[in-house]
Amino acid sequence: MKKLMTVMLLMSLLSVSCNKSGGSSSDESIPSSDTATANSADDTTTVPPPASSTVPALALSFQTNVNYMNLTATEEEKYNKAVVMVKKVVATEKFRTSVLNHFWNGAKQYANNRGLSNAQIYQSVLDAAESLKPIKNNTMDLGVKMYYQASSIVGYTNGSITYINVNTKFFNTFATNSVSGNLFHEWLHKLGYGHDSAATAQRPYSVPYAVGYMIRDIGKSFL
Amino acid sequence: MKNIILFAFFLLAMNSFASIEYTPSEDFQPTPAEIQNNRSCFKELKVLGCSNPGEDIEQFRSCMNNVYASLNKHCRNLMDDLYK
Repeated sequence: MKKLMTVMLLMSLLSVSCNKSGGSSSDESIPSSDTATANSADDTTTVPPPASSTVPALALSFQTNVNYMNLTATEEEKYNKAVVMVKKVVATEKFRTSVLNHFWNGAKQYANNRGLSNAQIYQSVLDAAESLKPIKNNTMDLGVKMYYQASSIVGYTNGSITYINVNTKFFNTFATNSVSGNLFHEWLHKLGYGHDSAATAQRPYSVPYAVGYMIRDIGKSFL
Repeated sequence: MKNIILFAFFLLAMNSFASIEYTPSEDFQPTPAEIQNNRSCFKELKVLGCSNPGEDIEQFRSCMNNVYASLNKHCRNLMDDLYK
């Protein structure tokens, strides 16, 4: 009996600690339109170009290999825009510094970080070696499958499949940057990162949530 | 019986789901004005000969650096925010 309990405890530590769970949900409200502000020309004072960034070459060469399993043509078109947005965001200095400077619990770290530093996590994104296809190919390899469920779950995956499931309840109304954020969140699970299944205080600071939000928020600039 | 429990536990562990729940928030959606302003920057860069950053990021960044001084303040701020 003791042996069995020990093994079960070890297995629980090894397993992905996420479950499909319900949560609060409400319709997303689109902010009301503001009056468009015209871009005004500045004076001709000499302006130096932005300082050369330290974005690594792998961030610039990051590729995507996304396979659509049951998407309609319209859904594919929308998803393609989100995939392109992911590449644009990964290639920015802002993404690099956001990932590297992420804070949680008083230190530069993520929750549920598998013992990895922020720099190691950033590198793992660029290496893009999914758990089920552990080749560092600098390419997001992923399948996408649509489904509908009247729940608060935007999407999900699990450890034994190479694709992600996307809930059309949200996909159909999401802006491109939100689709990108969800895509990246689920892909980070394929890289082996997890988070608490319950809505704990630390869950937003896990790699899938935190970095997914970065993709979404930086992606705003590319809408 | 012990083996069955072990097997069932292992099977469940492998199939646990990693999901994302919807969190309602307006913070991550820009206003239509912000979208228009941002798009105008990339349109201007395209007119100035810079590629789409999603197609050829290296050419885009190199070109953007070359034409940076001719961009308006909003666009310079946007480029600084993203690429500096």
